[in-house]
Amino acid sequence: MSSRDRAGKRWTDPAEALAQQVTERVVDLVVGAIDVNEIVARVDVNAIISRVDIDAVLRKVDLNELLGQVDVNELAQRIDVAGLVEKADLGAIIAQSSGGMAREAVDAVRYRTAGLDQVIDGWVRVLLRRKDPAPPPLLAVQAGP
Amino acid sequence: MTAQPALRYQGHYAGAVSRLASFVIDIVVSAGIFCVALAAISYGAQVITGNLVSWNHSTGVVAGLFAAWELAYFGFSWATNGRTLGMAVFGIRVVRTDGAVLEPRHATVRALVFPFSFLFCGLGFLGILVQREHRALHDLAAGSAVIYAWTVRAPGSGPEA
Repeated sequence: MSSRDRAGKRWTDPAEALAQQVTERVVDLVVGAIDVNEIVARVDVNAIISRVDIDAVLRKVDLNELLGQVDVNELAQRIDVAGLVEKADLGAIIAQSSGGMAREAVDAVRYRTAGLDQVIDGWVRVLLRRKDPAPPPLLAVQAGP
Repeated sequence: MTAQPALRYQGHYAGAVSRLASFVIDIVVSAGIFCVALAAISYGAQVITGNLVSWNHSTGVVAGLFAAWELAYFGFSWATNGRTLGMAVFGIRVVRTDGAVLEPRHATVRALVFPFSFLFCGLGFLGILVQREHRALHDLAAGSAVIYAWTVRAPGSGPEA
């Protein structure tokens, strides 16, 4: 380094340090003067979201890769099964499902027995050579709830 | 089972198989209750008196009690609900010939005439097979008829009303 360069550096280094100090001070003042909450309040988030094409974003997501990164076993261990079972009224659920099955079974038995009634009625009608149609229903049909 | 095919039976006159099957259930249930009641009476009498009570030597009394019990079982069931337990299982109901609810006096007449349908090899029941409205002797006497009356549920709907 020549003597001329050393003399120049003696001037430029303090000037550079001063410029940096001034810049930092200015930034501090500007940042301090800005009310971030007010700016955020002015932002129309709904308008921004409406511009986003979520479908396009979702299409870009590789779910298989994401799921591959998930440790399912660890996730399963974190689930409080006992707590869930405690909260769920399993007795009511089982009673409801088994009750529904029982009702379905009883309905099926009734339906098949009524079918047998019709078969026997048909035989009797043939034996008696009855031509007149079966009598109309005594009561109107009532559908279930 | 889908609801629509079953709906076509609703309100129609019930046939022989449904009525016979419901009667079998009723006779088994009512006889079972009667036997349990007899056993309970025997046990209670034995506890109180200390003597063993046996019904073997009083078949006439037991038969009379059984007849009265059956009369009460069927008559009370028809008068209060229009159907017995067996009829409820098979979804059939006793109603008046115009479809109205069976009144207690009609139920009583039906229960009283019911045993006479068994006479002459069950001749009184022949009407269930050959009569257009499937009415037996006790139905003709009481002005009643038996119809299919179970509430059919559509798949996925709520519980039975």
